[in-house]
Amino acid sequence: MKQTIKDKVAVVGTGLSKFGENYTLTYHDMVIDAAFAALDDAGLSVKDIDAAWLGTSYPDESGLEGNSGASLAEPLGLYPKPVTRVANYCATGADAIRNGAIAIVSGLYDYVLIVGVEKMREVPSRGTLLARHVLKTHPLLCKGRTMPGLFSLVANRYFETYSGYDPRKTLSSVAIKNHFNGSLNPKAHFQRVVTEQEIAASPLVADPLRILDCCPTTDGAAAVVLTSREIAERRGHDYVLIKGIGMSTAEGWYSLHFNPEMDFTSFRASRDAAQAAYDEAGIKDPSKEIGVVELHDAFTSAELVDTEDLRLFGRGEGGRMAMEGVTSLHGEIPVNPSGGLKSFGHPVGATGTRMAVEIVNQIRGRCGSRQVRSPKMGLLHNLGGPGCLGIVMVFGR
Amino acid sequence: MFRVPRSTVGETWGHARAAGERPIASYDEDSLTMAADALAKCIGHPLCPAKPDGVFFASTTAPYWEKQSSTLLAVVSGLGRSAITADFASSLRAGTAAVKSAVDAVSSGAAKSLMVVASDCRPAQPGAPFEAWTGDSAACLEIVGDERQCVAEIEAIHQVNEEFLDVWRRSDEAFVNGGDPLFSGPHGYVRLVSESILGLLQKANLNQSQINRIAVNGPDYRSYQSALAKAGFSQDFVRRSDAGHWLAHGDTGTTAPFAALAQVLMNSQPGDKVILAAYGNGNCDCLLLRVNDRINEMKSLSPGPNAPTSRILDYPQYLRLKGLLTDESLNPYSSPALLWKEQKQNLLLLGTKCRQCSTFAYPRRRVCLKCGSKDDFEDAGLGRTGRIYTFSVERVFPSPGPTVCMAVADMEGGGRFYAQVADCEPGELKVGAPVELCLRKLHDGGGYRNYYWKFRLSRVNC
Repeated sequence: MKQTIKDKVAVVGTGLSKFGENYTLTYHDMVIDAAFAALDDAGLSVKDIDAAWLGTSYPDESGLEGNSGASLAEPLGLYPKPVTRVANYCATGADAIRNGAIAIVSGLYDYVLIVGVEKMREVPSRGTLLARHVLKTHPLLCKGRTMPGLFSLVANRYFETYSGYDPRKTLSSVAIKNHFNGSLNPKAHFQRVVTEQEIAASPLVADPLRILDCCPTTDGAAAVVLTSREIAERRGHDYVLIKGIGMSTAEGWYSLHFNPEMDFTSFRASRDAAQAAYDEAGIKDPSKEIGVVELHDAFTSAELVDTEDLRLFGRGEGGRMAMEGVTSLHGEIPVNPSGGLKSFGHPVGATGTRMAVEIVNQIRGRCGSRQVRSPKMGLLHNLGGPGCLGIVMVFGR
Repeated sequence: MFRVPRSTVGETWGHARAAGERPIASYDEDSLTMAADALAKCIGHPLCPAKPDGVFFASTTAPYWEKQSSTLLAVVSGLGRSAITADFASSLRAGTAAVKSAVDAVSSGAAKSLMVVASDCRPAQPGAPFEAWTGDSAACLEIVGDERQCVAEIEAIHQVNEEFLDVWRRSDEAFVNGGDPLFSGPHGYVRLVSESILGLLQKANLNQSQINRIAVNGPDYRSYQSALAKAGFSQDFVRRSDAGHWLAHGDTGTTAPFAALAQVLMNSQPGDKVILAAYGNGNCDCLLLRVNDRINEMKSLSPGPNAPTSRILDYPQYLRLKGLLTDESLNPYSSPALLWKEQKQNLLLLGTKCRQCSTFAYPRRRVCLKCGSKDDFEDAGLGRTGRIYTFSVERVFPSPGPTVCMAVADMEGGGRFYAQVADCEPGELKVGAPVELCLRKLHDGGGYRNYYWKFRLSRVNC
């Protein structure tokens, strides 16, 4: 019979560094902050960890660390344990968890540690993610593309396809919601509310997307500790189970834009990953069964299509649901209660892991003023590259 | 391509206000991309006989001192590995030098037909008095050996060579230089052009009254008038020949004689005798053409003069495009080996068609995504026209302009393409808008020119 992952892997510890322009913190500092917070939460010490996974997507941005698991072992003193570095565009942090979870199911290790971390600031002007797209991509194909530009292609097609929307108001409703949630989160990069006027007045980045439609450039680290359900039970951890994981590789780095089947209002990578995760978790109607969602809102237009790809709403309804408050903190399906990428930025390797931290703690009921009403199941979602990768992970008790 | 009112150029420098508009290439164009455009239109013309045997490129502003431009032109035009290619340079008469060589080639039977494309971005120093009258332009014509296929036959050729310093540009200079025009006008251009024309008339045993029109370049309108008067032509003849061309085009380098010829031919009748002349630095070529019946076919196939649709810029925008108000220069990754490996895909726009399941793929694929067959495909061309499916306006991508417009388009015949949209204002992008592909210079990554395709909104060109 085919192996499954459902109810076999338990998250027993979570931790975050501060997310922000962490000029006072090194890469190692952020790793230590997040990892020790997770270990403390689990009541463990470094010695208890049998293997680890480091999620870092762009080590050469800061030029110093992240190209190998050694960058995790060194600051924590994890020697001589095996540590693997994972890189999978924006799905890095979640894919690192997926790899750790598979290792737990294998039975080879009792406790594994996953840390997702990225240093995006403190780089020379050509070292940013944008400059990377300009200078380090194919000399000809897609030259001119930026990530906000991709989600501008999406926004323009979305509002061309679905009538009855005021594009500016619809996009802004997502930014307003996520910034409000972030204002309640002491770990967020941006902890202040933004208004519709502010958003509409902010400079254009890729029409119609303005600066406040885009996530900021941020440093940060997140960590989780995983073990088997048996060990979690036996040792009395406050644990949340992984119910299902789906990961789909759908496109290459350049191919999305040349694919005649791409309609730019949906990403196959997200749809297929969600379907696989729901099948594993036994979820038939996510709009009724999922109580809290952290999804990939790198840009406001992304959140609209993500909610539809996750089948929380029907095609073309994502905008309406955002406008009507269905996805707000106390709405029917709260989306990005942490504040999302909008408030936390997108330290690429950290994001997926950070989302897991939020979902697990929402299910545990530990989110204070951000707590959503008793979620039975929650999910995280990342969309990586220009539509290359999708990953969805469902959690529950 | 854009236009700058000549008056704004003059105003900036306190020169006399000049009339009309100066054509200017965009930052992603150069003499090679403009030539590619003209060449594509000419080869695609219904009157153009089957695939030519080669292409000659004439310019004083080629993108390289050392790297032939006609090669790339032959490649993107699909002329094959054995095409005859050559660059002609160093003088405003380079275009007619190329024509003469093409005539020799088709006369000897070395080729059935050859394309001659002249293209220049005439480089004037900001503030130079003639700056407003320089322009960027390209023109293409085809020389054929079979007289049944041509619209005009070349009946006689005469040239004059004299060592003369009037206008020059040293290899270490960016801008065209010149001596005292009060000397070099009358004693250079005027004398030598008239001498060359008179020599041609004598060779052909004709007198001035038997010539219907002349197409010739010149440094300014007054010199042009004087040269023709000295060659014995009437004022009426001068007016008839020019017909507003000088005002419209000005001094567009090697292109100028051909641009003038295009205008002259459109105003000609079968049986007319027309002179094509080009002058540069003491050299003057004169060719006698006899227009034949096919000119009527050419006229009926050509759109009439259209109101130009390209955008009008102001002078600072012009300086920015000319790279004279420069940004930090971009040096993206590029690799000669990579570009060489990918020529079929990137320059010829050839995708792959799976032999097993007929699935078309662009970019090219060795492993079919639908049926999994490996290395079992044939080349299949991507269409050159299409309609916008969606678009974006990039404002943070570094560029000489404030925005980089991008579009995803469904291409004619199937497949999708994603690229920059050249010469485009953000407000012009609409889902469903028709677009065509044009060759542009993307950047100078690696230290060489990286040419690739961009979209351009389809509109009537002038």
